[in-house]
Amino acid sequence: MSTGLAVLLFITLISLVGMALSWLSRPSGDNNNQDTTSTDDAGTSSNGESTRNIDQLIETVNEKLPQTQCAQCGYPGCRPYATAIINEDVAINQCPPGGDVLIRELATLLGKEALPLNSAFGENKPAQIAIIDEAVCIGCTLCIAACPVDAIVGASRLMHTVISDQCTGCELCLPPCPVDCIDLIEQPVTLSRWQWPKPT
Amino acid sequence: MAKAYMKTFLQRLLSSPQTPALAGGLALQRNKPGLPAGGVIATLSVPATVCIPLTNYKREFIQPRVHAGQHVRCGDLLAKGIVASCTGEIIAIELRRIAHPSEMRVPCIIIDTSSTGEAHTAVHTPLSTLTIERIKQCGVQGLGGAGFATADKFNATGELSNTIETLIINAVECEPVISCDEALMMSEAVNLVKAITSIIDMSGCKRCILAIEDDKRQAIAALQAALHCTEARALIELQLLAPVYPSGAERPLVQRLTGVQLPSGIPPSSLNIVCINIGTAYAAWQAQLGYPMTSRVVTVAGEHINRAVNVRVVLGTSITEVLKQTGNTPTRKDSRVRVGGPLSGFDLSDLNVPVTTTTHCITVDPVRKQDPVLPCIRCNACSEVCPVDLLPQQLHWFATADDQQGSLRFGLMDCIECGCCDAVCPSNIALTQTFRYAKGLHRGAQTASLAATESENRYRLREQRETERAAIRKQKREAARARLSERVDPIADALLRVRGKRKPSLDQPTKTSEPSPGSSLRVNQSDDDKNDRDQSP
Repeated sequence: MSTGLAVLLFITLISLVGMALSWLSRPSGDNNNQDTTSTDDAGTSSNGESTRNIDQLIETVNEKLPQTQCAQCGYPGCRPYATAIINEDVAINQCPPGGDVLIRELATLLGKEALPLNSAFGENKPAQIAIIDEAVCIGCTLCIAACPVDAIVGASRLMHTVISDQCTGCELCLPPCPVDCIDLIEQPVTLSRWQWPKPT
Repeated sequence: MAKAYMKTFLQRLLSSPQTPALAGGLALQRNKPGLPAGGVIATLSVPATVCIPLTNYKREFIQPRVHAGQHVRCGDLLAKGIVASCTGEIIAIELRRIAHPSEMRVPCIIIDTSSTGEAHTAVHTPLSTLTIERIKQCGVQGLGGAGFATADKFNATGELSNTIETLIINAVECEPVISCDEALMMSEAVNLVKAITSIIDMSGCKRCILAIEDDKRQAIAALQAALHCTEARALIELQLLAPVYPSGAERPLVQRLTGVQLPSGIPPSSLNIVCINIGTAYAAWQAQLGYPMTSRVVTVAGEHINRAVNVRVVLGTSITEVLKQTGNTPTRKDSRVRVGGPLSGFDLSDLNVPVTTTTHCITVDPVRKQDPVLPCIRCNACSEVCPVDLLPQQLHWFATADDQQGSLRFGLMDCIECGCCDAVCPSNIALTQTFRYAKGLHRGAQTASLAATESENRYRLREQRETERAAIRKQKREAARARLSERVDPIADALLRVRGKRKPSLDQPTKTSEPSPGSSLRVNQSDDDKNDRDQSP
């Protein structure tokens, strides 16, 4: 009899402790919920501020992007891609020129997983620039229209040339060229660009 | 090394209270070969061709203002800040290897001097006072280490500001073997005092310090004797420093002499302090007398050298030529030729490179066996000797891991690449090269980030332009569409026109007397035109 009573008392005590613990753990969860609802309210009430925050975030992401404007990510430029990452939750591993370094930076910034570069969008290559074979160029101006950073100069039926300091190596001038006179070469190492090698 | 350590420590204790000792550094054995015995620096003869690289101190390419086949006179401006070192004909502007650790080929001007071979001539009229324009005109560049354009040191903003407080003449030639400045001081002390005086007059500085190590006894004696003979002794403070390497490095020297802590990345000129090498001062004075900067003093020394000398060499002379003319052509296979001192210099694989303003020393030494690199044992020897108070062992850790933020936090960009840490490292770690590599990475990243900003701006401008163009096109299209919708049926329109033509031709003959067929046609035509114009908006 007394054993049964003891067991009953024990169960009661355990359940009491359990209830107390659950009550203790509850408030923080409630607080979290309250917090989110309150921020949501704030978001709707001061809409301007939240859009400003989003704009800032887009700006930060855009600053990290390499600005090659190559459109390999599927968006017409770096800023549109940055906007899509923030507004449409697009994957952060679609920028081949940025490569894994960029993915790691974006992952840290946005609290996302650092996935490897999605090879469907292209491969990370060393820095390159376009060069026009001026003897072959017919002066059709198609590449000038295609260049996203205005790095090609020339006029209709006159020779075109690439301003190599401004070229981002985006390859967008290659498809429109009717005579295939544009080549991409690895960015030449000049004396001012030369770096000491890492000691082995 | 332990001995060197002790010496450093003792020197720190014994150094004068006015000038604080260098934080760290190495007290190395005095080794200054090739000082002029008779007090005269020999001048090498002008070579058959000279090669002048088209680069500035930032290692950027400078567009030449001359062309191949052109005859140039000694002192003529070849490109911005570069003058011809001798008279002759430009035979080519082509890629040539230069004395640089990269051993890269850069565009150079090749002058054939065989017809005249004239150098060291005064081509400008002597001035009573030195001016910035004259320094620019004569292409005076720093003869210390970096080859900074001297005119830029005095007027960073474009015109000589009268705010220069302190002028420091750097005669501290602390690295072993290099003795070109010491040789110059021994042979040209009187002229050097004149040179410094005229630079003081030009800059209008309030204080001028001439810094020199106390172990250059002959040079000090010569300078003191020269100072005593002039009124300049009141203007020039002779500051003797302990011979610790790298006392001559600009930033630590400026901080020690003036007591001003230079913030990271800030040049002394922004704190109204100008520091120039004593050789540069001499070149500036030569410019005042009308001589363009066409030569410099070069130390030729080393273990595999027959006769160590200091000689005046025409800029653009090849290293092979310098060694040949001084009778030091390397014959042994185990020799290595080095440009610069044993600590801060670099080895050359091709000797056919020109002497430039920064080539202060050429050494021929036996090939050094590379000791195996061992892991860092955290002995702290490197941070003890670091003259700029860095923690090389920590910095090395970040630099090898390519952690740029970490490296920058530990003062990577303040490293003066003196090589002291390499010299004391018991594990033979190439610390300085690691820091140079990390600096290169950082500079590369900075350049890339600048380029990215630039291309983004260009992209934005293009987008804006495209949008504007699209808007104009749209507007035009809409206008055209509106015009089309307004327009009546073309057939009815034509009929109306025809009817309009007939009416006057039926009525007119009765009213006018004898109109010529030509004139009626003209009238009709003009009516027709009018109709057309009325109908088309």
